[in-house]
Amino acid sequence: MTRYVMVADLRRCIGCQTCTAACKMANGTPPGVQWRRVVDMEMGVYPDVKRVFIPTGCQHCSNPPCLDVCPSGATQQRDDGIVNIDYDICIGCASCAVACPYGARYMVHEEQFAYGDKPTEDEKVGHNPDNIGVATKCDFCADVIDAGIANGLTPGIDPEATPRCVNSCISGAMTFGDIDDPESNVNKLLQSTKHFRMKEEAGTDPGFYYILDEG
Amino acid sequence: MQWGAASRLQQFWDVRAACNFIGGGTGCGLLLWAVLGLTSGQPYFPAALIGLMFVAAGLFMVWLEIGKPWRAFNLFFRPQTSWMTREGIVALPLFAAGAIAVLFDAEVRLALQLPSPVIPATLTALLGLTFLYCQLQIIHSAKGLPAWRESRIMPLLGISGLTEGLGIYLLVTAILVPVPVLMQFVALTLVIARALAWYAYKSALAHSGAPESTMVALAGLSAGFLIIGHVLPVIFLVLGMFAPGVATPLAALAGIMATLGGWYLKIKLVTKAAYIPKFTIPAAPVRGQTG
Repeated sequence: MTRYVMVADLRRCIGCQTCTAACKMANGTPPGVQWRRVVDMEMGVYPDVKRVFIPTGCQHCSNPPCLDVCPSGATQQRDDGIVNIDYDICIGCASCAVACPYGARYMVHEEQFAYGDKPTEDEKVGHNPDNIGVATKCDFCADVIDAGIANGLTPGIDPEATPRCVNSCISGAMTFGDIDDPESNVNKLLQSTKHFRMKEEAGTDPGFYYILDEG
Repeated sequence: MQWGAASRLQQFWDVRAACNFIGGGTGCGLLLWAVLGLTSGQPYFPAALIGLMFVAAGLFMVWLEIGKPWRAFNLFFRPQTSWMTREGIVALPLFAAGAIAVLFDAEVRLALQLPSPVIPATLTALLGLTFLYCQLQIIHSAKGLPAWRESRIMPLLGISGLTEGLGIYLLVTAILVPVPVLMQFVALTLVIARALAWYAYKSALAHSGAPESTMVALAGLSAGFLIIGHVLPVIFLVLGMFAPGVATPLAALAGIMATLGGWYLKIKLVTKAAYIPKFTIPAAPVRGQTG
């Protein structure tokens, strides 16, 4: 089996939001919609305070609460673990959005652009009017992964088969790969480090790992 | 503060979604009390018709809420797991049985010599309870929101639906005939049960680590909910028991207050109390060691 997961090394992330920009650029998401987000968090008590940057988005859970509640069947789970949405079926009921413990789903009800009422040249590239009035979210750039695999490439290793946020990361904080493959990049990385997953108590088995320290 | 570093109020469902829970709870409660009243000789037609109208109005409001209303029929696609699909499926026979029951109780029954509406009315009430249960599961399955996923929200909103339905039933009955004493006792019991369910819900939520903003929102609505939906109805019902001459208008008044209290609770629960918890990490990352 294959299960694609994302690993974010919090030691490396500098909060530059290049991943967010790359995602917005590719998908033409409207203002306020960030399928790949970086949470800017403060930890500790003055004067011992630290700033932590946490890349987040859809966790592509193996037990996704958004899947069961979807009445239309628009939310689906692929054999490789990617949770995606069929925007042509979704009715925009937002059941999935209130079921997601990670706040990873978005809905906009009217077209919005960064500047004025027309898309910029950049926004035109990924803009999809069918995404208005439906739930949207990160799909791990499934189109890139599928095209890459079709060309004999390996997701997470070959950039042409790897999610755009990972390719764009300037500090090498993000790694993508198949956790079911014992020899994969993500498996080796996780075996050698201390890591955690967000809101594990929710029982969702998220596919997004966060590295804190050496193993 | 940025979402993620702080909890965030959900804004996907607004007062239109709350109206679906109001219509479903009140309507299905009303259908239950209408058939129970029917078996003891009370008028069925007006209460049942209003009950069906409540359910229909609630569904209409949620239809206005969804992003792609002309695809609404797609909601029937996942009955194996989705309580929203099941709610939609149950709604169809509910309206069919309800229409038959109401028709059988209308004057047309006499003209056509139709049988008593007890059987279709009972079926309607059972389907109504099923519809209400689906709604409770819909809100409970919102796993992203501690205020909704807490298990004790189900008895709270279930009892509230029955209380709201009885509230409207008392009002409708009071307009037509004197309200039976038994009905007043039932109302008193339900109002007290809902108050207990409210405290049990709040207590469970406080121990579940719900966001502070949720607890603040619940604390803010508590006084209004308890006074409007419980204290005033109890006063009116008890007064009515000691003053039988004005018991019927007092019961109607109690019914209105108990119903308004439930509606107030649902609107606040949906629009003000449902926060997605912030992210937390077990320790700060250890920087400066990676190659």
